[in-house]
Amino acid sequence: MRVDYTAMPEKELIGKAARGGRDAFGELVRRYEKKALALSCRLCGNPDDGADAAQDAFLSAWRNLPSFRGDANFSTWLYRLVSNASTDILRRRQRRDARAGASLDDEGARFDAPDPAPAPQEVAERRELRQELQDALQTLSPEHRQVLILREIHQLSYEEIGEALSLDIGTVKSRLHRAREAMRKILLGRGTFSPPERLKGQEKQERRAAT
Amino acid sequence: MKSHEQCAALLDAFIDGALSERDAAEVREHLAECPECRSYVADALSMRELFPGVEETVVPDGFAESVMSSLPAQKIALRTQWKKIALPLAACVAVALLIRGVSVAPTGGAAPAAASADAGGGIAESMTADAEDAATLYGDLEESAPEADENQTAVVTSVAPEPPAAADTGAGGYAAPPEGASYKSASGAGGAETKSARAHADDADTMPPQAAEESAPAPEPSAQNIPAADAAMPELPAEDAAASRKMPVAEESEDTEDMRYSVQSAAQGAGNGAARSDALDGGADLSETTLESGDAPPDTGGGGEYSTDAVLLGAVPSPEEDAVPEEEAVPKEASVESPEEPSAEPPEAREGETSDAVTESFALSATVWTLSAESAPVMERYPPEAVTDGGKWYVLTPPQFEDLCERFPDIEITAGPEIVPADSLPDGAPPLAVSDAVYIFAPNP
Repeated sequence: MRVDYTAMPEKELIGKAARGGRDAFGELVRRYEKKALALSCRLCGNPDDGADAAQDAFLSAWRNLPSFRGDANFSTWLYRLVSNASTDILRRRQRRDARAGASLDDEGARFDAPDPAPAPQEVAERRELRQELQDALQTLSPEHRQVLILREIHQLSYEEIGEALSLDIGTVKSRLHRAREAMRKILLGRGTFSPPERLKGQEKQERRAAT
Repeated sequence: MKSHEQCAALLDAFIDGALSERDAAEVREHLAECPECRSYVADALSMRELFPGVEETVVPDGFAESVMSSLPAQKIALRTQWKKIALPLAACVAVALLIRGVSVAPTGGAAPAAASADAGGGIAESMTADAEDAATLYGDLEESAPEADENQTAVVTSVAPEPPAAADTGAGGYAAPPEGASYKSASGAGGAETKSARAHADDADTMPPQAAEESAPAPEPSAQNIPAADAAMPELPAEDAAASRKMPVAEESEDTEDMRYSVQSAAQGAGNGAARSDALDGGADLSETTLESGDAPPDTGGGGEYSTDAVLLGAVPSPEEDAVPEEEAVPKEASVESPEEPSAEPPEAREGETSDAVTESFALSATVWTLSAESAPVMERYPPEAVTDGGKWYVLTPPQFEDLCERFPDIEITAGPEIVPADSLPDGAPPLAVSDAVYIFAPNP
């Protein structure tokens, strides 16, 4: 009799996969591939490296499932593996780029975020903004990027982020704040965001004073 | 009312909805008055808008299939790994037996046959047996041991090393290795001349197992009475050591019906060694090994850096052994177990077990020690030649082990846990730990 893994509860799938059940693990992969790729692609900055990192993470999950005790959510545990795999790939890429003299501004490092694309002009504008966001994201340190992505894309709570990255909550909060500040600074500098109204008012007053 | 600084510190929590209602209300009030904080919150929320959602992520076609195809062909438990190593090695053992059996047969099995470097080419040579021969031979072995099953496992044989008598090796044995001896020094390829008593295969073929067993010569009482484990280190009389020694390897019981095969990979130093390994066949027969220590201390011959003899003693698993639960499986003393107590082991051998991996079963009655860098001093203190000259332990050196791994890629024992029962270590040896280096010590039959 063929087992329907698609309807199987996650815990049961994990148990079967931990005992070597390939089909059960395959179902886990299918359930989490999107989340894994969403994280890895943003962390790595391009879909190819992201896919490699996600694959590495799933391989690692397969190897380490027997030691997964279920203290954490499987998704959180997987995020950690994806995050580690992405970091490894980033390190390799940095070494490779350092040898080749490449920079993060290379076209190859760009990542075109997938877009649902509703209206043409809006789509174009939004795509541009997203690309700017993605570019800004890649200028962050990996630590800040991880926290920001897990929060903004995966919508993990501070506690879950701390669990996934083995950080205490205080560190999560401070990294998140710094990451936002850094992103904002970059986007303000590029004109993507407008300066605060107070600063606008100051500028007006300065202009008046000058005239 | 909170100050600007206080509210600014709460902005991220406000954005993330992690504030209490009261704090959130205060922040809202502050935002109404503070354009700077308002701008920060607005920009953060704009960024959030721009971040694509997880659902928008495009999964490459066939990603899951790609992941699944990249998984190892089989998720191998350690037990399975040993099964994997055991079967091919048993086949290789059989090949070696055939080769040696043919070459030794004319001598009548009594006189040592000079083994050339080629003939004693070590485990590498054993592994070169082509698959067809190995399969055929292994098939023969299976026929000889009909109860043996591919899925069955034998228990790791953990035989404590015998302290070589001073007169035996002159190397000081475990307690006092030769000065200056190091792990990298070549073993005395010609130092230890090893031969195995031929099993009474013909008799076994014509007699029922029990009769064959009864007709088999009994092991020497002194060896038979060795309690096991650490007690399996009998002090042999010097004269015995100087001359050839007869060491009963195991008394095969009708129950276990183990078959023992040996691979001899001695005499790596070309022309230096005389080695012979005779086939032990016939299931219920007594397996007896005569071990002759070379008179001359080991020399470095032409064996190269790791010209250590490597001997693996194989045993086709018995059903009973396979039936032993993992928790209960214990190392068997192949050399000392008595037919009456086939699974008996000394209590102290259990107490010292540092990992349940010691209970892992495989079809070779070789003891595997996993050594860590920390345990490197063991090798310093007990270099291969000292060990091998003791006539009890043989070392599968790293190059040999690598060779083994190359030929049998499924072997993944480098990641294995420590499998050394602490109390099976020689006296004074530092404890071994989980490690990244693996060496195989095998008792010389």
